[in-house]
Amino acid sequence: MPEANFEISKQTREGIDCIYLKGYLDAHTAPELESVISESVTGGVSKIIINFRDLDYISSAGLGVFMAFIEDVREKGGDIKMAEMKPRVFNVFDLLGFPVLFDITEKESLAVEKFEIIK
Amino acid sequence: MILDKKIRASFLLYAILVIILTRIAGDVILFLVHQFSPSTPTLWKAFTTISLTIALFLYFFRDGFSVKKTISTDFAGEYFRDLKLVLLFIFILHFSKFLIIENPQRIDRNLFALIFSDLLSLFCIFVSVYYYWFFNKWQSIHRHIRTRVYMKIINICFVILIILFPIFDHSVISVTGQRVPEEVQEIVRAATFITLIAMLYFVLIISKKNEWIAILPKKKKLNFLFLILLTFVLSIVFDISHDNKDELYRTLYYFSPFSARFIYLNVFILSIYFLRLILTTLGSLPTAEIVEHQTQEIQSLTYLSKVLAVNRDINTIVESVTEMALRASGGSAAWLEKYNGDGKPELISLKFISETNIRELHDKFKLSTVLRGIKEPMLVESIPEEGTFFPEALEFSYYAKSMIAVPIFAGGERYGTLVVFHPEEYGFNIERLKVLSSFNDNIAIAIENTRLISDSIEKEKYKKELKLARDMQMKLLPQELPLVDNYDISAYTKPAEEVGGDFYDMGKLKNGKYCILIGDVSGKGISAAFYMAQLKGIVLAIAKESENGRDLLVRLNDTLYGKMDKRMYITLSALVIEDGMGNLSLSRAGHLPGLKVGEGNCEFIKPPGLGLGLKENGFFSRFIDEQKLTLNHDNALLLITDGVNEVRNEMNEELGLNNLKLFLEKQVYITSKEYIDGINEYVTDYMGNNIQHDDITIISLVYKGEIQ
Repeated sequence: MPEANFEISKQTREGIDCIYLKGYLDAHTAPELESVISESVTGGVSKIIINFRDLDYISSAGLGVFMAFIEDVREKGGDIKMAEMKPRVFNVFDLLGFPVLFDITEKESLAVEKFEIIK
Repeated sequence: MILDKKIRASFLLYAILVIILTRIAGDVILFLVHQFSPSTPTLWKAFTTISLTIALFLYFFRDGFSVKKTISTDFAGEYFRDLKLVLLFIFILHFSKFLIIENPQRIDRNLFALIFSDLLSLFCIFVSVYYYWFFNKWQSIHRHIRTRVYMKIINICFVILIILFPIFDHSVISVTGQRVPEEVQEIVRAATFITLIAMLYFVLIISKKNEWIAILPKKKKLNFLFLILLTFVLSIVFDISHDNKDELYRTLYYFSPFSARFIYLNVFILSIYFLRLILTTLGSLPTAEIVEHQTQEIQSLTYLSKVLAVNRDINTIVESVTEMALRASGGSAAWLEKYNGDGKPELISLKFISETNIRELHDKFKLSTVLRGIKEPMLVESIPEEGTFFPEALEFSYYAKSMIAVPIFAGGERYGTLVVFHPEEYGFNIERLKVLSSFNDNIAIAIENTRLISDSIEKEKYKKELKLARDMQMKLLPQELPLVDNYDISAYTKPAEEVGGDFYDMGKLKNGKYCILIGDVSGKGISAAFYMAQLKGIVLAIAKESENGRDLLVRLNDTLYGKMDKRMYITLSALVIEDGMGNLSLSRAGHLPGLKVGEGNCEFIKPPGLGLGLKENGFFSRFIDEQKLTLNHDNALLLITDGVNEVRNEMNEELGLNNLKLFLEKQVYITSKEYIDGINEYVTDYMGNNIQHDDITIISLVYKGEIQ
């Protein structure tokens, strides 16, 4: 089972937390992602970029994690932006209609720029 | 085979009887015809004696030389019985001397004396063979690698001595009646002496496996020692006393010289054998008590293992353990206390001490603090001396002069403490501590087992509940779909292991049109199942209020938004049958696109739409739209859940919608069932040995109306 192969790392620059996902995001590994985002949010960070370039798979549980935080973050004037999705992963988001809910960009730098503009 | 043996045994007994009677009868006849003289019928005597000896020998060893052993035979008991018989016989032999009324030389004058002498001699031959058999039997039972070799040597020496004895035996007249030369006599005497020493040596060393003596209980050991000492003394006296003047010897000699030698040699072997046993027994007396204790400890542990294997109730186990600990250590009182959090220790099993006493020790003299604190077994050799936690004044202190406390851990946590008191100062020793520690290990294992077993039972219960839930969930889905003119509609669902979130139904809209619904609750397991059930409850009612498919989804979102866990959402598609001419409309709330299949084509119908429960209705209704489509005759519209396209093969590759599309384009199905079976087969094949991870639901609708 591929569930075990999931890695997550975080980098902070200019007040933005960039979270890098690698491997498979599903019901087993979703809690890990949840705790990382939660850490940022409770730490007062409201600008978050999720980088999907190394993510191979996402399930419904994985998608749900983002929903848990998005309203809070937006209330604080921030956002959770998504970048560099692989086509297969993007398809899953697309089916659900996520592109109207979330800002999905092709490059991380673009997402960073968008945060700057808001400033 | 067995019959053969029985026949042989009976035959031998008859043979023995015949020989005995023949001999006696023969002697009587010879007596009566005045031919009987002690020295003449040598051949007659030799023949009857040897054939009798052989017959007896064959009878005793009819089952072979090796004795078959089983673990449960009480060999000690059997040995005592055989030994007592040996002793009895030697008593009789001694006693028989007093019974020889007449001087043997008078045998030829007195018929009764002759018969008596014959009987006595025959008895002696019997005893001789018995003794040899006894020796052989017990060497076989307690055999070791060298037993066979040594026995062979002993047997060879035996035969040599039988042959050489007459010369060593002062009778220097050989068979031919002439005097044997002096040199030859010397050589033969030397040879006899060497052989005797050799036989003595091997008889001494052959009995090596004597642990069974060491582990006899002390009383039995002393009893045993007494018996073999007595036997040894009588045997030696018997052997030493044999000379030309000894009555028994002469009786035997006149019966047959062979018989005389035979018995003395056999008694000799036995006496040396018993000498060896005496030395062994004496050597094991000093440690008798320790051995007894250790045997007892092993028995306690064996008993404890049995108790643990049979009992699951932790209290029974604890009771047994405390009792065993008490017995094994020779203590006067014991108890086991269990720690449940910070409160008072729970006293689980008490032996010979009252709860009041223990509480007193805990409260007044801080014993509980002391006990909780120990991480290793603690030995207080002398309570009066170390006097830590209670003075002599307490009523029970007279039987608590020393103490052992063993901490018990189970599952990494401190379970409790086992405490044993001893009535003597320095009453315990280090060996006791070790045994008690092993009891402690046993308790820990037992506790773990109990936990594991009850966990396993819980798990079983849980599994059963899950299965029940799944069965109920299956019942929530429609068993039969309504029949609609011009359309052939089938549905199929196959849940994965756990309860799941797939949903489908068919109902009527406000305008009476039929609406087919397919949905999937995010995630798996109990929470998904709950939402699915909730959905079932409301969706058909909402459908009746809805104008069209899009409207239905909007109303649903309104009902669900804010009522679900933020991380959860539901995807749903609503397919409305607009008329009987193949016109349909599909609305999609985040669900997989519909598949329009026909004429070698497969097209994805993907109107825009968000998943249900994610956003409030204002937002939701802005982004959802309906898409109209028309089916030709035998065309199909398929609705699936992601369990279908997300199925994985043995290399963990997903099937994917594209592969499904390619597959469908190649098929020529014309009924809804064909579509379902076809897709099912395709998916199952693709899975191979992999297991199904998500619910699979397929709805197929084929337009059977007029060809347009």
